[in-house]
Amino acid sequence: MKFIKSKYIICLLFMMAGMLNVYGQKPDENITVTGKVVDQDQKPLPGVTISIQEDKTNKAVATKTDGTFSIEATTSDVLIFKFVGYGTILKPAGEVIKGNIVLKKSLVNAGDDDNVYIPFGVRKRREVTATISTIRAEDLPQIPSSSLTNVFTGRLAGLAVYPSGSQQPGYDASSFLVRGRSSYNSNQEPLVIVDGIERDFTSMDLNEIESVSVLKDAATLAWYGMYGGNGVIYVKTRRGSATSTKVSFDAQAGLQAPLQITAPLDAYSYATLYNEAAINSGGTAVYGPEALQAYQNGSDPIKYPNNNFVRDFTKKVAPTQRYVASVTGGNAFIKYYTVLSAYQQGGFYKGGNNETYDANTNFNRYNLRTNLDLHVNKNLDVALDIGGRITNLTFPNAGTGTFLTAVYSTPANAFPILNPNGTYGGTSVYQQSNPLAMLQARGASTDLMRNMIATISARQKMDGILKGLTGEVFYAYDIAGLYRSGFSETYATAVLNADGTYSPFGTASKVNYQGNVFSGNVKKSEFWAGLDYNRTFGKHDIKFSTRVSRANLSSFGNLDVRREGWSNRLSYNFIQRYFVDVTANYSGSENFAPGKRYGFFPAASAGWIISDESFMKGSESFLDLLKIRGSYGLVGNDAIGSARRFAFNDFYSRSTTGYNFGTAFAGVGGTGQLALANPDLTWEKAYKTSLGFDAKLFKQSLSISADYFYEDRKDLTTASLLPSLLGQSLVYVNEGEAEYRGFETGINYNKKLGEVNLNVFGNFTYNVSKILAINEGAGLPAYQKALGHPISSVISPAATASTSAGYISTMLISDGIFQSQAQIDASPKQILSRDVKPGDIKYVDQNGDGVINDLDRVRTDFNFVPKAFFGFGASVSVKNFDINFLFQGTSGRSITIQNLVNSGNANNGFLSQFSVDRWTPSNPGAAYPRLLLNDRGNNTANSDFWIRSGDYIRLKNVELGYSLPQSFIKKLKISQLRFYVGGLNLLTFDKLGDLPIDPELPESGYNASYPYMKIYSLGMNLKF
Amino acid sequence: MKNYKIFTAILLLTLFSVSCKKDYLERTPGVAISEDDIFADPALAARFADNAYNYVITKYVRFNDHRGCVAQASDEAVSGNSEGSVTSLNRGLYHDHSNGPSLNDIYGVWKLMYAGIAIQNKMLARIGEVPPSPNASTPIFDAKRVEGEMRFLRALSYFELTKRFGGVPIIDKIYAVTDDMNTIPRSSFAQVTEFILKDIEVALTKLGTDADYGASNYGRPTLGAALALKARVLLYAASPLNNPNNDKTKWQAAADAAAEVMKGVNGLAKQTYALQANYGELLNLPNSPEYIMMRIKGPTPLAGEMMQDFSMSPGSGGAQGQMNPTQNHVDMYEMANGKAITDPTSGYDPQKPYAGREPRFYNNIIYNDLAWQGRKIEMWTTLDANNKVQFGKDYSTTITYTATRYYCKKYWPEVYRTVGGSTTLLNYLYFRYGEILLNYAEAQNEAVGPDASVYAQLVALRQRAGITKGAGNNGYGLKDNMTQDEMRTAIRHERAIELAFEDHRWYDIMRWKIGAQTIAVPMKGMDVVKNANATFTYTPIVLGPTFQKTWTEAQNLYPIPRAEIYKSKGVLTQNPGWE
Repeated sequence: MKFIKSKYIICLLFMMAGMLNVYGQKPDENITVTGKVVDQDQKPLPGVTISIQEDKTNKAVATKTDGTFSIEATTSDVLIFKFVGYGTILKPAGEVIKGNIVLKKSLVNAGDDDNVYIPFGVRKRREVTATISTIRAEDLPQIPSSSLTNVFTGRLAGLAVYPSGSQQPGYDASSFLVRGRSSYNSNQEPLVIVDGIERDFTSMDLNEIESVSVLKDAATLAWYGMYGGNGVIYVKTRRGSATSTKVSFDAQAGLQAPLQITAPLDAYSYATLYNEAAINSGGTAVYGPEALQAYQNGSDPIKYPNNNFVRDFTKKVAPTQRYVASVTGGNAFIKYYTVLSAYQQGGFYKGGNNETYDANTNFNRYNLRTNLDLHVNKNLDVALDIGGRITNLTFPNAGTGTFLTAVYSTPANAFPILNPNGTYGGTSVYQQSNPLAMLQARGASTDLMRNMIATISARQKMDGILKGLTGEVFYAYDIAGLYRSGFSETYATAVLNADGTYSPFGTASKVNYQGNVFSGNVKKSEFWAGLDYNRTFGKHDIKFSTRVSRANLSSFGNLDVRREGWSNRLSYNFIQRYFVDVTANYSGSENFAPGKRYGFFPAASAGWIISDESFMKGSESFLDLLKIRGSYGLVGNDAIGSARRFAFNDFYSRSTTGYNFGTAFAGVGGTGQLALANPDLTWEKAYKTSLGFDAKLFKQSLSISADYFYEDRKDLTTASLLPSLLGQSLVYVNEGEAEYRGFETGINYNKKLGEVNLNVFGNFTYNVSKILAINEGAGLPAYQKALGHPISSVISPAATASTSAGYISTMLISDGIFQSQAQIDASPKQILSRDVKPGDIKYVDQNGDGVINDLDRVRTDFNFVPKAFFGFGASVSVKNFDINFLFQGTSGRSITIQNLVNSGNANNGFLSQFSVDRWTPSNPGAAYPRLLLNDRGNNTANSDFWIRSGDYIRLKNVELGYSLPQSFIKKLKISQLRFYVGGLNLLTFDKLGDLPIDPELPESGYNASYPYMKIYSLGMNLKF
Repeated sequence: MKNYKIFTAILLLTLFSVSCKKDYLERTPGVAISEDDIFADPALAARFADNAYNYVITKYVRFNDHRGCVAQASDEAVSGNSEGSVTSLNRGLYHDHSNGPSLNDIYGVWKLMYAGIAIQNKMLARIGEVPPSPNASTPIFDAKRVEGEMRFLRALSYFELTKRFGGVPIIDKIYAVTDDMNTIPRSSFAQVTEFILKDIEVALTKLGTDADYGASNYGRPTLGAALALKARVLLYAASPLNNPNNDKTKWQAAADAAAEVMKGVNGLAKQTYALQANYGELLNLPNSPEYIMMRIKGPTPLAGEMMQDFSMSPGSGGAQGQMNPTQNHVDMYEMANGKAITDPTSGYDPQKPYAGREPRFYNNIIYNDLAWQGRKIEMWTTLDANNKVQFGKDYSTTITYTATRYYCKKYWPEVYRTVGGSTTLLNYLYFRYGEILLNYAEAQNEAVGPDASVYAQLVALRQRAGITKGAGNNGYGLKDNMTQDEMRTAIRHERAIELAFEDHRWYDIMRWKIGAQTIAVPMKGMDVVKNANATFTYTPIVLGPTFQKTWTEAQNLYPIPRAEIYKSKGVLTQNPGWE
C-alpha cells in the first residue's frame, strides 16, 4: 500500500517537473515558417488555408500550386492547416520544420467532426466496429432542469431513461437501462463514466459536457471486464480549443408547473363518501344532514371547515433559473476550458412565514470546472482537470414526505387551519398534520453537498523506443461530503370543544439549531497506466492500447471497496475498409473467493465497408457509405444481487440486537453469524452479440444505423433452495440465466434547402427478455413460476404497514366487479376479506378449487421496463430563427394505480379523488369497487384490475430561438446573441383516458411524492 | 530524451508493481469475525451463546412487529382496525398469515425457531473448544451453564414448534450448505416431545438457580424454568389434541412434573416460587417470586411502538387503538363473590355491568366510565339537541377507535400516557408460578379427578385474585364436590381469566380442540349510550362481520409453511386439512 502511494507521488512530481519546463521555454521569437503541404500520396496540395491561432489580425495564407507556403509567426504560435475534405491539422510554428505537412483526405465518417470516444482512446466513426450511440451536447436544448437526464431521454438508441423516484428539487431520481434486462437481480444500472472515471453525471451542467456516448456491445464493454456488463454511459467533458478564445454566457429563467397533482375532495364530497363507506362497512352515517349542509354553505368554517390544502399550500408555478459562463482558448502550449454555472430551483410550497428560516424547498447548485491541456514539449502532454460541485437543498424539517402527505391526504374537513384563538388546528386523529404549522413552526433543514473532482494525466511519446508508442498515466481523486444543518422547532395543535374550551395536542418548542449531521462522505481514487501504440504501415493500420487500473472507494464505517483490472485493445484495419478489433480484460473483484477472483473477458468485433468495394461502384450515386459490423464477447457484472459483502466467506457480526437480562434495559449484545457464505460465488457472465450496419445515403444527407442484439446472461445469483431447517439466511448460488434480444435503429436526415437548414432524427429500440433458469420451489404451481417469462414486474412504490415497497410480478386476475349477490353465490368463494358484496372485485379461480386465495395468484408479464422506447424530432433553422423539438415515448409498459386509488389510511377513510368513481348500485359501470372503511382485503389485493398501460408519447422538449443578425451584433463586438424560449414535458399522449396521472411516473403528485414538473423557460445566449 | 526515459522507467515500474502485487483484492474481513475466532475467545463465545436468546419469542404483541397478537386470534380480543396479520388468522387464511410481515406466528416462528436451533446446535458442538475464562467471581463463559441454557433453549424452540405444527423435523447437529436437508422428514409429535424431554433432562444437570446467577443475570433459564418447561410440554402432550385416547399416564406425568416445581427448595428446582401478592402488577415488575422465567422489557417508547400503535385509545393519544377485548371475554369474569354473571344470585346488573366484578376484571380490562389517567374513559355515543350523534373521547365509528368498547389494561398500564407520561415495564413471561398451579390442577384432575390438591390450586389463585371467600368448604365461589367434568370446566375457565392475554388462550383452544365452541361463535361487543341524565345504557351487541372468526378442525394445527413444502419435493408433508 505504501509503495502504491509513493508511486503516485513520483508520477505527480514528474508531471510537475514537466510543467515547470513550460516556463523554461524560450521567449517568443519571430520566425518565418516555410513548408510544403502534401496529401497522403505526397502530391502537393494547392489552396490549403494556413492561419495562426488566436491571431487578432486574421492573417492567412494559401499554399501555391506546388503546395509550398510561407508565413510570419512566433515560436509560440500555432498554425492551422485547413482544406475542405481533408482533416485539419494544428501544429506549433516552432515544430514546423522544413519537412512536408501531410493533410489526410477525409474519408466518409472520418472527418474532423467524426470523433468517437472509446475508453482511453478515440476513433473516427468509420473505424468503429462496436455499437456506440453518441450525442453532442451542442445539439441538445438548454433546459433549466436540475437533472441532465431530462435532456437525454429519447435521444439515443438503446438507452432507456426513466424517472424512478423522487422528483423533489435536487433529487430528480432517474434510472438508465441499456438495451434491455437480462438480470432479474437488479435493474441493471449501467456504469456511468465521466472522462474515464466512474462519476455521477446527472448533476453536471450541460455546458460541461462535450458528448455523451452509450457503449452497448461487448466490443467496447469488454474493456471494463467485470464492471461493464450492464453497459456504459460514457461522458466526455469539453476541453479547450486552440483555434480561438471564446467567451460564452447563458442566462435562463423558467417556470415549473406540476404535470399532475392530486385534486383533493371538498368537505361535502368527502363527508358524503365517508358516510357511504361507513354504511358499506356495516356502520352508520357519521356526518348528519346538518354537517353536510354546513360543508356546502360554509356557514361555520371552524366547526365545519372546508379546506383545500393543495390550493392553499402549493404554488401553480415555481421559478427556476440557470446561469452559465464559459471561457475557452489556448495557444501552442496550453489550452483551457473553464465553466462556471449556477442553478436554482424553487420549491412549490407556499404559505407560512417564519423570520428565522424559509421552509419552502429550494435547491441551489454551483458547478465549476477547469480542464487544462499542457503541451509541455514535443513529446509530453499533461492534462489537468479540476471540478467542483456544491448543492444546497432546503426542505421542511418535518420532512418532504410528511408535509406532502399532510397537504394531499388530510381530509378537507379535518380541522380549521387556524383556530379562532390563533392556535393551529388539529384533532386527536390529526395531531401533527397542519401544513401551515409545518411551514412556519416546524423548522427547516438544509443539505449542503460538496464534491471535488480532480484528474491528472500525462502522455509521453516514446518514439525513441518504438515509433508510434506512447505511455500514459492517469490518476483521479474525487471526494464528496454531505452536511445537514438547519433549524428545528415543534408546534402544538388544538381543537375547539363544544363547550368553548380547547384540547391541545403536542408540545410547542421554540426554534433551535438542528443537530448537525455529516454523512455520505466518500473518497474515491482511481489510477490507470499503460501504453498505446498507433502506427500505419502502408495499407495496414494498427492501434494497440493496454492499461492497468486500480480503484479505491472509501466511506466511513466500511472497509474500502477496491477494483483492479488489466484492459487491452487491438484494432487493425486494412485500407480503411476492413476492420477488426479485439478487446480483452482481465479483472478481479473482492466479492469473490481467492482463486476465483479474477476473470478474463474477451470480445471480438469486425467491420466491413462494403460501399468501398468495386462491386458496389454502381451504387455510388446514392450510397456514400455502407458498413456492416458485428461483435461477440463476454462481459461480467460483479454485483451479486442481495448477497452481502464478502459473501464467499462465513463471517460473524460483532453486535446483534441485545437481549435484556436482569434489570439492565440495555440489552446484552450478541455475536451472530451473517448470511451463509457461498465460496463458489462468481460474477454474472453476459455473452453479448450485436450485428448491425451504418449507412449514409444521398450525398451523406441521410444516415441510418440499425442493430440486432442478443445477450445471454449466465451465472445469475438466485436463492438456493435450502430449507429454513438450516436455520440460516439463505445463500445465493449462481444458477440463474436470462436473456434479452431485440433491435435498435437510429436515423438522421440533414438537408439545406436554400436558407432552411433541416435536421430530422429518430431512434427506436425494441427488446424482450426471458428467464432461462431460476431456482423456484419444486412444488410451485406452474402458473406461478417465473421460468420462461420475461423479467418483469410492476413497480409499486407505496409501502404501507403491511406491504413493503417493491415489485409485483404475481397477482390475481380480476373479472370485473360483482353486480349482484346471485353472481357472488355462483362464483368461487373469495376469502380475501370477510365479506364479499356487490361492488367488490371478482377474481378468477386459477386452480379451480372453488376458493380464491394465494394459490390463485398468477405470474404475469406486466413490466415497468418498456418493450419499446423511442424518440424523434427535428431542428430547423431559417435565417435567424431556429426551432427544435423532441418527442419521446415508450410502448409495452405497465403501471399500477392500486396505490393511488387505494391511497390513504384509516384516518381519512381511504378516500381520495378517485373515490368518486366508485361502484354503487346506481353506478354499476364504475371504474373502482365500492368504498369501505375496513375489511378491504378483497379490493386492495394485487391484481390486474389495477394495471394500466404506461405507454405514452410526450413532447419532451421544444426550443424556439432567434439570433440577432450578424450585421447588428458586429457593432456590439460580440459574435452571437441568441434569445430562446423552450419547455420540457409540454404535451403528453397516453392511454390513460381521463385518469389524471402521469404515465411516466404515476405516483408523482400523489400520496407523499413531489410532482413531476413541466418547465417553460426563456433564455439568452451570448458569445464573445 | 531524458524526460521520457524517466517516464518510461516509472511506467514500467508501475506496470511491474501492479502486476506483481496480486494481493490488492485480498482483504482482511474488516471488523467481522471468523467462526474460529468466536470459539477461541470466551468473551465472544459467551456473546454467541447469548445471541440465541434473540431467537425465542420475546413479546406478546409481535405480529407485524407490534400490531397483532394471538389474543386477537382467540376469543379474547379482536383487532379494531382489522390488522391483516390478525384477520388472516381470524379467517382461516393461514397461508396468507404465513407470508405476511414479521413476526407472524407460522412461517415467522418456523424460521425463527430453526435459526435458534442452528445456533444452539453450533454452540453445543463447539462448547468444548472454548478456552477457560480468566479468573473472576462470575466467569465470562461458564461452559456448564451455557450448555444447560442451550439445551433448555433448544427444548423451548422445539416446544414452540410442536405446539403450532405438531411433529416437525428434528435438527440436532450442524448441517453444511452442501447437505441436502430437503430429505429430512417430519418426526412425529411423540418423537419430538421425547427429544425435548431429553434436552430438559440434560439441562437439569447443568443449570442453577436465580441465586446462583445473581441479579444481573435474572431472566436466564434456571432449574425451575427447565422444570416448568417440562411441566408444560407434558401437559400439551397429555392434552386431547395429542392424546386422543386420553392416556391417563400422560396426565399423571404432567401432574408430577408440575408438582416438582411446587416442591420448591426441597425439589429439583432448588428454589421456592410463590404467587405475587398483587395480580395487577404481574407484567410490570423487575422481579417477582412468581416469575420462573421472564424477559424484562425496558420502558417502551410510545410512538411507533406497541403502546401508541396498538394499545392506547386515540382519546389518550394512541394512534390506532387496535387491542379490543371482546364481550365474550368480559362476560367470563365472575363477580367479586366468585359467582358467574349468569348465576341469578351473583348480583350482576346488566345495566351496571362493570360493578362488583372480580378484581382481575379491573386489572385486565379498560371499560366505559373507568377513571383513567385523570379522566373518565368515554366510550359512549349520545344524541345531542339536534339528534346528531356525538361520540365520547375514546370511541367513534372511525376504525382507529375500539370496536368492542374495551381496551386492554394488561397491555396498557395506566402510567403510559402521552402528555407528561412516564414509562414502565411490560415484561414477557415465559413461565410464572400461577401457570404451574393451573397446569397441575388440570393434569391432576384428568389423571385422578378433582381431589383436594386440585381445589387447593384454584383456591390459591382466586384468593390472590381477591375474590371473597364466601361460603362452602372451599369457598371463593368454587362449588364443593365437583365432578371431573365440572372441575375441568372450572379449571379451563380459571385459566382463561388468570392467564388472559399472556399467550396461552389461543394455544389452549387448539390443544383442547374447543375452537368450535369458542372461536366459531359470535364475537360480541358492548353498545354504550349516554343518556341525558348522564347515566349509561348498556346493550351487548354482535360485532360486525369484519370481526367474526372462522373455525375448522384443521386449525388445531398450523399448516407447514407452503414455501418449505414446495422446496422439499414431497418429503415434508402437510398437516391434515391444509393444502
